[in-house]
Amino acid sequence: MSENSGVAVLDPPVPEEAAPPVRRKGKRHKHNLAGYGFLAPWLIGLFAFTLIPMVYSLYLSLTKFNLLTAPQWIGFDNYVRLFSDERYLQSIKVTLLYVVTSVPLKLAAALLVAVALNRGLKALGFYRATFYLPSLLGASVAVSVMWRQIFSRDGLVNQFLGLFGIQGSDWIGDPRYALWTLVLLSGWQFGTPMLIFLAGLKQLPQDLYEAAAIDGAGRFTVFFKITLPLLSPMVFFNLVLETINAFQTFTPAYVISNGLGGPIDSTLLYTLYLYLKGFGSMQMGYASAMAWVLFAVIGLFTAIYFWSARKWVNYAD
Amino acid sequence: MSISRRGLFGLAGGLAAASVAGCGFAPTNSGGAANNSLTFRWWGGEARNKAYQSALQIFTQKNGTKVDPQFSGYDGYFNKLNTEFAGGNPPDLFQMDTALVSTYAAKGVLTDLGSFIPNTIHLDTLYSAVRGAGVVDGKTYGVPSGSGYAPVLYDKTVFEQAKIPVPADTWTWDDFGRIAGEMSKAMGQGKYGALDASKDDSGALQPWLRQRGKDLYTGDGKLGFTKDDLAEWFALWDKLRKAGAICPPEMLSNTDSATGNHPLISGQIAMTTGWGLAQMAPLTQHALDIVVVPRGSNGKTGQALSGGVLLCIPAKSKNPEAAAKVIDLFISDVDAIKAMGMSRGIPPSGKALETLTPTLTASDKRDVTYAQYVADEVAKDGLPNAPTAPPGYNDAKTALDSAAKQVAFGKMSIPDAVAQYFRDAEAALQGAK
Repeated sequence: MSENSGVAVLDPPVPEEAAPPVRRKGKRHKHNLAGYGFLAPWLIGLFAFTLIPMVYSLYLSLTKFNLLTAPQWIGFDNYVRLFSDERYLQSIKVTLLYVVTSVPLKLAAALLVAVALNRGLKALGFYRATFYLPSLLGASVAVSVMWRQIFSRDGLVNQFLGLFGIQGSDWIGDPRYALWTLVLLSGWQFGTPMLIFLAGLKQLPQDLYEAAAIDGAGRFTVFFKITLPLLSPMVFFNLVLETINAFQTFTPAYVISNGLGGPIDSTLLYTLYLYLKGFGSMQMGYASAMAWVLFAVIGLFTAIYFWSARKWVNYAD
Repeated sequence: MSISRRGLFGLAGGLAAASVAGCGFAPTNSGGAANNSLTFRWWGGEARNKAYQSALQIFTQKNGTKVDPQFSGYDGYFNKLNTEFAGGNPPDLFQMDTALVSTYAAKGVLTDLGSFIPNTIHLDTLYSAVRGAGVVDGKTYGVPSGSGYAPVLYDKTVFEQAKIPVPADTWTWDDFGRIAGEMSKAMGQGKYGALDASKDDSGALQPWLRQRGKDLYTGDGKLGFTKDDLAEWFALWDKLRKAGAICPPEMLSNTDSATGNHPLISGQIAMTTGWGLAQMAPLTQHALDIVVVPRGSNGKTGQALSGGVLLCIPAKSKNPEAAAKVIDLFISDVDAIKAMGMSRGIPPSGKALETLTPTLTASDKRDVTYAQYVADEVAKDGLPNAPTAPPGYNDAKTALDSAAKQVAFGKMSIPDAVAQYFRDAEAALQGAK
């Protein structure tokens, strides 16, 4: 469900509320009114919980606002200050590193498992559900707590390494490794893109594979020359979605670092720093400015994807 | 999972939405708040929730005023409170973190309790050292509901196994380093004599500074020590770290005393600064005990009595008179004190303590005798009370944590880390004004 709404927002040329009034004429107008009546619950939600708060946060981003007293207008000061804030720059570094590693890892895992499951397994439904399970638990606190236990000093990983006489690090306490536990957690939750890949794989035209088999193409050739190009719309869709999700990752970093982004800011993801500034330091104006910069950056990434898509995404028609 | 709905604006926008919602709900709260009811918000665990509720029942019996209790964990407590303050609909009485009272007082959202003292709130029943815990710029904004001195906690069993004498109440920082080193050796590989406390502001750095006649903050909200002091502090711990007497910094990621996720519980260290005897003692087979924080070479403890949690009345409270009566009940009503026991920390008055003494458990008693001992020793120090933590305190604390860990992980030299701390902490204190 939520995936669908994601697409709606990503697709700029569909301003749903704006389109119908253009054609309003006489009788049709009444029909439209009824339509809006039925839309009202959704529209109210959109305005009350999305658009108005967004506009308000844009206003707040231009103010100094401590949550308790009235906001003071300070123009673009918050935006200027961002770029001399060393912790902010650190959070950008951490977030970019997280995005460029976790997204490819997750998509590669999803594709690999989808291709494996597509080989006509007997208990496909069971495996599909099993692999999807981690994603259902997704952003939950429980999974993050479990992850913390697995990678802590005397956690599961180190006990396993201990069997071979290896003394493992404290993966979560060491700034060199802490972020990678988050990347791994994200990679493990590949269920959603996997399902999308699997659905795509099921629809690929078989005649191309038959032709390839007759021509004597090997497995890898078939995968890279037929499967991957045909699947590129799915790859594109997943790439956009997962990139946006990765930029907004909050819960695992919050739980694994005890809400601080440590050790020494090595897991200080963007939204975590935003939260700490807004609610911890009570600098909601500053936090709002951060939110808008993130919005712009995500928009930029998405735009680049769509622009590049013309070069590598093949649509069947 | 659309961009617009998720965390992105959810955080900033959700606040706005929530405050809108807050306004909408306002009548439900204020409607009933004639002069016979009030809302009281606090954070706490199971024990405190029960204790407060039983005290509030006594309050209702005696005064006929109904109290609507609202409680949660500490996480998110102030986020919710801030949202309600922003929406103009705070609770009528609430529990406050001592370290944050000046931040809220500076915003003008708290009631000056001066007009209720001494007729409604009998502040003089409190220990004189804690009376100032809620005082900002000469005005009383909060009254402490519990108090205490942060000790050093140690694992008695491990000391006995190692055949090393446990720390004495007269020990100094030199003794601390020596004993930690001996324990590290005795305990074996991967185990350490003490937790790295270079980042612990109130439990370690503050007494150390006070022993030298300084403090964390000055009365007018500036840093109360110099760069040289901090460099010396970091160097002290760096030496212990390099000698293997204290834990490596990786171990600092798991030090949650409330959940028992603590190296002291898992047997990886023998000593640590800070609170938590009551929470941790039931979680381990080992015997835990407390000792006063190491003294300065001049014999001073440097300890500062913490007001623990405070009770505050928002400026927009709908029933400040009744709220003030509840505050007084907490500090001076014998029945309420008995009902609450030690579950809110050590009661901040001698009268309360006398009332309780016959009913205490063994670990409670240890806490009390310790507190009395330290109170006597602190009196010998002859030092002024510690000033209230200034606005911006939270960020300054974060800055110390960050600088100390930069040194511990070897990412920064001591002078660089000190410079970073002073830059960040001064900006935090300045920005909060």
